[in-house]
Amino acid sequence: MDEQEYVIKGTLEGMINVLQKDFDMPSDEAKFFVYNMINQYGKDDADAVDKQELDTWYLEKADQYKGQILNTHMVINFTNITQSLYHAAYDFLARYLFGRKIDLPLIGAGLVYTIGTAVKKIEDTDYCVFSRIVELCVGNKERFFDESDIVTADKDGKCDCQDEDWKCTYLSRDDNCTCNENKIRLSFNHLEDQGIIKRVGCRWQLMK
Amino acid sequence: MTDAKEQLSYVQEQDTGTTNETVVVIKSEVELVNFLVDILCFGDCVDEADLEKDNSFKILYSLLKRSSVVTIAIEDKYVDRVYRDSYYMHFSCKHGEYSRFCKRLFIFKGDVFENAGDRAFSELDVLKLQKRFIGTVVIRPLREGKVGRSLINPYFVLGEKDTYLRFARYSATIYGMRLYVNAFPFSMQDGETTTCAEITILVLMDYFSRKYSEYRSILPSDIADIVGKNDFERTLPSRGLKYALITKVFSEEGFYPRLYSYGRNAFADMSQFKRVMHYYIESGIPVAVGAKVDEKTRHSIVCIGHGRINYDNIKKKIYAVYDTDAGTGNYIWLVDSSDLCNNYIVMDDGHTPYENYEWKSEISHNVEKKDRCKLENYEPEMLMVPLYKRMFLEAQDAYDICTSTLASRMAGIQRFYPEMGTKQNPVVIRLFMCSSRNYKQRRIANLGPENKDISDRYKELRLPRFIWVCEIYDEKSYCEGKAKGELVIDATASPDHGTKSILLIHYPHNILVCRKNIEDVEKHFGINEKFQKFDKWESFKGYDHNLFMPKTANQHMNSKLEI
Repeated sequence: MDEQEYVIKGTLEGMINVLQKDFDMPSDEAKFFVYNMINQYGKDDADAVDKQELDTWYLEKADQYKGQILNTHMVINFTNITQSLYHAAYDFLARYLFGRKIDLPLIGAGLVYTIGTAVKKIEDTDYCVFSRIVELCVGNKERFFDESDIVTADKDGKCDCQDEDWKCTYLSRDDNCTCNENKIRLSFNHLEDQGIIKRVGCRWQLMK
Repeated sequence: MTDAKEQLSYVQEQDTGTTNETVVVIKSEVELVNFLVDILCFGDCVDEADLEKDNSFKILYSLLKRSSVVTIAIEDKYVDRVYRDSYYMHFSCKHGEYSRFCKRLFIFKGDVFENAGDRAFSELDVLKLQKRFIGTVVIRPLREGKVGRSLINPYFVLGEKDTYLRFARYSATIYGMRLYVNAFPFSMQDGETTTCAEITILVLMDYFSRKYSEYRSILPSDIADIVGKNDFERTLPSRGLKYALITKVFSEEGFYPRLYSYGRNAFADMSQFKRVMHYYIESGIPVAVGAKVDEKTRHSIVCIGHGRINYDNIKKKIYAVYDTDAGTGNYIWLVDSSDLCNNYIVMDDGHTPYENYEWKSEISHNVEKKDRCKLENYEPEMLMVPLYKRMFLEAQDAYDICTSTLASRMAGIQRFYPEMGTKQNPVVIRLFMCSSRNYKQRRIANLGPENKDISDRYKELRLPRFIWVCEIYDEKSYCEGKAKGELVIDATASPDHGTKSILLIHYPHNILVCRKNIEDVEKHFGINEKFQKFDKWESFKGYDHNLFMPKTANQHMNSKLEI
């Protein structure tokens, strides 16, 4: 893909408007994208925005938000590659985390980036295990984990993480999950080969 | 003496005949190396490894090898005012002996004695010598940094293609003959009275004093005086200067400089740093760039122009800019022409004059890693722009005013041409500052016959001494160098004035001369301002009087343009 760079300058509302009109993004995804892009600029940068205020803006509906940043002109800078990466991350999060009342400010921009890069690479067999790892790492992206931390089914052995877009090889009749520690270990090895997780001693960690 | 050296001495003797003139014709690489070994006083026991390590040798060698044959006239016992100042300030106080004199080399392309019969150098036709004249190089009697103040025609180094830079016209006399050269001054640092910081000041002041009568040329001792009064440590031997101190020297010399620092929240990212640098270079203002070499080393260079414009990259980076008047919801897409240029012409005291450095950007998609940018091998950190005292409005403010005006519902381009400024058809902008005298002269000359009525409006324009101009193009017209319109902004305006600082808006067939902005600054630029419509209109040549392409000495002689 040829890299195409976009710079959007305007208010938060204005930027969302541009993303909706010229990038065909639904309103929620545009808001998600703007939040992540603004978060991307480090604390040292000239137009860094107060994290708490940005979180509040994201969690509130735009028309209810009364903070200052709504009318401040800001800049976001991204490429078509970044855009597709965040689109993939948004799809994943909307499906697995936002529905469980885990919201974006808690997940953090770093984890969103990791998800975006990972979901483009992983295979169906590892999808479930990966989503469980992400769930574990919400709030602490650098957390260590092992096979025993991955819970793929509820206490009745039923799966609660099904999707039409991927085929789960662990799913059997009546939503029963057949995944076990050996299968999780296999998945870990696959994910390691793809550069998504890394082995740290006898435990594992998401790649940065 | 080696055989080759004996041969060189023979050449000299033969060329100079019975006069005391020292003129050397160099026709081969061996002769060039021997000449340099001789002139740089390496002595008899020099080996190849010593030469490879010596920066003075490397600079002169890479400069002179560009021509297969060169003639060099040597002025012995030359009094170079910069070196003489350093000598009395520092070198004369040392235990070891240093000469007070330098040598000055007058370099000519080819063999000037060709078809000249038995005539001595001083008997040659001055005009013919002028045509071949490349420039002068001062050789200082030092161990390090032997190449002193040098004036080299950039054409000799860069050719004429894809290079746009600033230079001034200098003259030098040898054997009673006055020769002229278009050059930007260059010098190596001597490491004791001058480091890269002092050289940055010296070459910039040398250029500005030559070009504009408002400024004077300064010497290392002048810098030491100013630094002594504004710093806490001793000034000699010099250990380099902080960029704030370099800026202070320019302030003391009558400039109103601006210092930008990447690390201190001036810019959101490095691309903004680059764009601001480019706007000033496009304005014909040489700038000083402070850069990181490695964790411990910093360096200072002077950027005097830019290289090739990459027309192929025209839509690779596009900007959506909102009307600053919040609530209108109007925005346009634009391409900034500064993004199309990644090569800059640099005077770096450790390299050959007029180095063409590439700006390399590495975009990081990882939120936890910043984009990395390099100007050749340096990471730029500081930018010092020596501005004239009446240049109040800064580049970023001029950019904001222009782009928000272009995006505005009331005065923006889409009011007349809704198809321009879309994501598919972005507006290309070129932002620069220039003097209003040159601007008017060049515009009226280039507006074309179809724009006669528009030209009359331009003649009546009331402009301050300096203006910011934002030329407007579409993709096709930018490649052809034909502007489709422009915005002119008062460079003496305050950034808070916003649209009140606009003096002219010119779109195809429509012009708005904002007289009210000058006549009554208290009133707001408002809906009463009316565009004047012109049935006859044609695109016009972009402004071309800030940066110049290098010229041969011959072209320079014939040029009537006063640069």
